Amino acid sequence: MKKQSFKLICIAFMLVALSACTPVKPWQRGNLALPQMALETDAHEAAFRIHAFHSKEGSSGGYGGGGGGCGCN
Amino acid sequence: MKRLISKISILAVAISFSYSVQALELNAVAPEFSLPKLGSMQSSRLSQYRGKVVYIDFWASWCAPCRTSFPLLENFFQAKQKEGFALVAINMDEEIAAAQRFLELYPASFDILRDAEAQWADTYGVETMPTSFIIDKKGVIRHIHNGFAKDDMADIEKIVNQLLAEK
Repeated sequence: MKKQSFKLICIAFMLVALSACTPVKPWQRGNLALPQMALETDAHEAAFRIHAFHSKEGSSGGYGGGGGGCGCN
Repeated sequence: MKRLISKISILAVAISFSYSVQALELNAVAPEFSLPKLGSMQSSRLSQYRGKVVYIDFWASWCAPCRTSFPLLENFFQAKQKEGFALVAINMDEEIAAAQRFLELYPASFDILRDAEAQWADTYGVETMPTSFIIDKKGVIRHIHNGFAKDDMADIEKIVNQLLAEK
């Protein structure tokens, strides 16, 4: 009995928490578009770093770039 | 009972994540909006532009492609407004000051309206920033353009010119 009521409480809590899940509309992305929200602060530096990483690891991809890991792309 | 609870929870999770956009379709009549001009109480209606080819652009100051589109659209508007081309840019910024700062950097002579409640962006089914709708002289949506890149301008000009040639 105790176990079931605990489960019910968990589910109820989860349902309440779900109300926080809401799709962000395109025009609500102003804050997400701020420079401080970017995963990389400097796009050029990031590109160089990814290039060096791919050359070292003999791998490529996952960042939107193509290539076979030769370090020449 | 156990099964029922788990079914209900799964359903609730699925519903909470569902997101549908009721976008307008091509060849639909553009919904009639009435919106205030940016920084003024005077409002504009879509029907005011009836008989003209109208380019409706939903934009925001933080949207990077809008910085590309505004100067190009301004040039095009200057060239074509006498031929019956109207450009209506609907601002979606949360703060009006941000839009005004943007317009100081990218001046525009076309109409800038403000949809502070996002009522019309929702009705038009805006999916990206910017999204534009090209409406013919009869008020029918003839082209929907998501996003903006420099090279898109040639296509936009072609479509507008075609629509301007229609009677």
